[in-house]
Amino acid sequence: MTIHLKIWRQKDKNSPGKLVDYTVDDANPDMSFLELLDWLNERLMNEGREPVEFDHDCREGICGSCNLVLNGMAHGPMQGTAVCQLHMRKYKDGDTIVVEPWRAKAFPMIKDLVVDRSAFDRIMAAGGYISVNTGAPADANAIPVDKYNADQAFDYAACIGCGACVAACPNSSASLFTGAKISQLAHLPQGDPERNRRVVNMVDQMAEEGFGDCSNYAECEAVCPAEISITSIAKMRREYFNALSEIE
Amino acid sequence: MTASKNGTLNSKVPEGNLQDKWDNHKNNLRLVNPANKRKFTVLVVGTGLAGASAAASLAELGYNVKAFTILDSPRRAHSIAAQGGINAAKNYPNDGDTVWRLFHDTIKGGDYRSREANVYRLAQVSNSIIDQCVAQGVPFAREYGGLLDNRSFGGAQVSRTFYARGQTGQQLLLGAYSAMMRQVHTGKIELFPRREMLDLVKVDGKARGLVARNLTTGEIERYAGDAVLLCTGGYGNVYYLSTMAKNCNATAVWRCYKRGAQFGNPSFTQIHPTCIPVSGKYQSKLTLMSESLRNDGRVWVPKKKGDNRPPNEIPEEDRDYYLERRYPSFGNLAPRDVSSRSAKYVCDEGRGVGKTGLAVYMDFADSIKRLGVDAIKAKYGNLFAMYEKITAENPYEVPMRIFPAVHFTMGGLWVDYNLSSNIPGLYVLGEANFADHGGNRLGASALMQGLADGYFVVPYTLSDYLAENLHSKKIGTDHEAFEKTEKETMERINKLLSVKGKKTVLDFHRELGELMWDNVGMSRNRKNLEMAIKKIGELRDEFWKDVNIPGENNTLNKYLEYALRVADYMELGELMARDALDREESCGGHFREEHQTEDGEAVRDDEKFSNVSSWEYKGDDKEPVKHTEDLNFEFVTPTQRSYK
Amino acid sequence: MSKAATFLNSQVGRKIATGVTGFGLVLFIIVHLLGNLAYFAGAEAINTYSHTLHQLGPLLWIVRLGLLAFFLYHAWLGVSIWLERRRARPEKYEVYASRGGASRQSWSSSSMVLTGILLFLFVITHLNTFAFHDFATITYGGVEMHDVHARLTEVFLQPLYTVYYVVIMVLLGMHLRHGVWSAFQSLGWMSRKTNPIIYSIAFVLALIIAIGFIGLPLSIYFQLV
Repeated sequence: MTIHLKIWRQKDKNSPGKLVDYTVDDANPDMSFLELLDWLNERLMNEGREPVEFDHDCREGICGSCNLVLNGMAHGPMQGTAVCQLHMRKYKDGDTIVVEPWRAKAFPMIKDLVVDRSAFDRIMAAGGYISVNTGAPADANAIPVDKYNADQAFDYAACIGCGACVAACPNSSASLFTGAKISQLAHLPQGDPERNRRVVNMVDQMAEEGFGDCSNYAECEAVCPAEISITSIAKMRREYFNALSEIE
Repeated sequence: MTASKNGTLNSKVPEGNLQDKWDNHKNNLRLVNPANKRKFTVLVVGTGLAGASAAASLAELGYNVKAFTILDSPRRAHSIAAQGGINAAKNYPNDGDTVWRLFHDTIKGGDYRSREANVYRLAQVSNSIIDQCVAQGVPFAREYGGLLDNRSFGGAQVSRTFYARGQTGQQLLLGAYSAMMRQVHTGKIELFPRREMLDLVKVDGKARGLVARNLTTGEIERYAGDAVLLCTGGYGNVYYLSTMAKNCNATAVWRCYKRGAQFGNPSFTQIHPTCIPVSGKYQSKLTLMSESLRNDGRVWVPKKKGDNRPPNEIPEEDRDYYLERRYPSFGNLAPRDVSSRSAKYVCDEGRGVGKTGLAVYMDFADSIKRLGVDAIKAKYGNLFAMYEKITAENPYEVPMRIFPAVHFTMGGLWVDYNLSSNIPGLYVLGEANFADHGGNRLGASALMQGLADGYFVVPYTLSDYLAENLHSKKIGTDHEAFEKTEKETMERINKLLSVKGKKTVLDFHRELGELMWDNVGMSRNRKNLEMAIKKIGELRDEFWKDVNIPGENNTLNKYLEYALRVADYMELGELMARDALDREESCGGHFREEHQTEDGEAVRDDEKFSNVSSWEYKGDDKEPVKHTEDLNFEFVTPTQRSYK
Repeated sequence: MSKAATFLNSQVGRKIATGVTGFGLVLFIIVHLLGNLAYFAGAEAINTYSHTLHQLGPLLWIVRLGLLAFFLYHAWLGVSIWLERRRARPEKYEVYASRGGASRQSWSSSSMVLTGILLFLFVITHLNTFAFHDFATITYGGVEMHDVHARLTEVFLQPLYTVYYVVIMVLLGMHLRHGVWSAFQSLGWMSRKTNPIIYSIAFVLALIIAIGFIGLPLSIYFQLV
């Protein structure tokens, strides 16, 4: 099959970028989208041109490295699917796909389709953990967690940290990412002692990184490869409200 | 004939009863007092389960830690992709599990090619790992009563596997990552993402630092420390196609090997039987389907060669359920190495299925008939959906096609009981070392080992080394050893960039992978291994003459990163073949066709090969020298595995 | 003080404040709508209702000022969040599309600032047309009061004003279609189960309010009452 690509090329943060046209005339429906890019890159290199840089690693939808916006949708058109798991059979012969990087002030450009997502790590460092040192915690079964809360915690813990929520949000908000971690830990008794500090610090860090406000568009949930629900954002707000009334 | 030195390696296994070794050892390890801990800097390379857990634990103790990852965030390390679970001898289900039993299963599963003391320690600390992870908020599966759920995995007779849906690796890694980020916040860990260690810096024979390439700017950066911890994972990507992530590589371990660290059992590779088959040349990686599917799926191929009928039109009498036929007592649950090899044989006979002929069927029709679609959906819904996403085939209606794929490497840098390589100050943790899995790893044991090494072993053993070196001189990055190492690294990069040949890195990697898969894969023989060694050498020469690397060094350049890695695979692949050639026996994942019974089962040679082969680098134009460490089985008696 | 300031300056706090003020305004709108409906009960009903309100004196002023504060704060929050989004994504996508599915991006949610600004302008003209206008008086049972009924009839017999009013009420409906649901989400009163229910209720509520407000001018214009 023939696929026309318009790919964002940008040398570095300080250079202007633009969409460049490419055509792959021997794409295979069983290829993943990233394999299509590999294929294109092989060809570019054989022609002495510079390949397209993009982030990728596990290619099975769990590491959260891949980050492409296809025709305006983060991770492309398939629900609950990271772009590494998107196969070309989803497209028709002759289709044109516009490929862009995540765009947000908090995710500065590095090159082509690669951006810097370390802001997420700093949000995590601000409180996305339970302060327990390696050593001798109590026996694992000394802390029972009812199945409902355990399952809820898992649903929120499934976040792969890819940043699609930010990329798709009209406001570039990181609320789904931050809310997911806060909600996971808020559903577990282990997370209780630090819940107030955690939510306040993480929410503050999120703003400091330059992410926008949440306007409840829920586009984040629609593009999330882990299908995290925006109820995590509601939960984050409850936690925040309670935290401020409780902490000194 | 390989030059070899037998029994020259000191494993430093402590004296005493198996049960007491670790405790006794801990009693004797030297400590560093709290005020002195902050004078030490530890460099941790890699942030998977082993690296993240070690970095967090050491920082909590008060050491200064610098942590390096090739990815943009520590959370993306490939430990994240582990599906099945993590073993521990908690015996919560009361089904008779003990530390001894976990130890025994692991050492037997490894076909008696691992160190008793190490494996026992692994089983001992397994319970603390679960406690630690639960305290961190890892959302393990639970029962309605709120207590942790366990399942049986990989044919084990007890239910000792803890799991978090099909994403156990992800949840454990995020637990370790969050512990690590907590220390980043306190300033005890300094994080260096998008950095790739390209060489080890040694001063007076000790590991004192590393040079790394800043993958964003291309700059070569120097980092000095009092010890270096390699937690860089396995080297399965030598085979090009594997279930490893694209960025997993062997460069850090290989560079350390070339600086004198010995490489243990390089040929020990695990090939997992249930992966989604290759669909075409463009294929970039393979995806594993959880082994749990084998509980209900029946594996078969057509009896006749070249039978091209669709699977549902092949009648029962024309099907060969070869695992059930050859291994009546284990059937479809035969161990990973046995199942993988059997699949290869039927495909070699021309009975493979699918477009490429390199696949076998895993059929759920009988289970669906017996249990109903809903029961199958409840058990495997996620996996079936994933399969359909990738292949566009509905496994409820058409049998799955599966094929073996490289999944894990049991070999790695040689380490002693303290996880120290033979270079003082260089520690190797997790899959990067050779230690605990012998010739074959059991399911749900990799996660256990990574976290055991990082949380519960290295914090103790490293303090012993640092205490000894309390008064050694601090080395700065302006030391001549850094200067020299950096220069050599730059030269290697410039040399690669200046080749400006015609073939892409991918072309070379694919060729190497084919050579490795065909000759150093599931089934090996002298003739092919000798041929592979020769051909890898030729391919390597061609690589340095004809590789085409785009762009420059001073920017993000993933194909340059890739080229540096493939350059190292070209050397490592040869060592793997050498080791496979040298080991004249069949054990675990290493199957030598010369050493099998009449009906094709593996034959171990405990007389000659109850040992670790550990290889020492002697120079690019010289053959490596083999050292051996004898494995003395004091507490268990090696038996021949049989799954008939 | 500093705690309140921290709260109101945070992303979560601003959103909660938007929700609270939004709910306040919706409450007012509902009361206002009920008042309007008094027109259908005849001139005396609506004039007496209006007169009773005016008798509240200082209390009325407190409510008015409170309402004004809510209104201004709500508007300021909305505009500042909207301005913030431009800062948070300096370089726009060449192509942008909604994935659909769980997404709540719609005409309604995407035009909140626009509909909000138009509503703001409308309120000024609306106050000018009614609140600050000199009313004729009418006497019921010896009590003299404003003839609100006459003014309403007069205004809504003008085709241009009626069209303008109807259009604005459609925009109000759109604003509330996202706003009401969103306020629940902003206040954290949303769970996986309640989410779709509240989203539907918000639609029905927005529809009722819009139809309610549109009903009066159209009835007058077409002389149905």
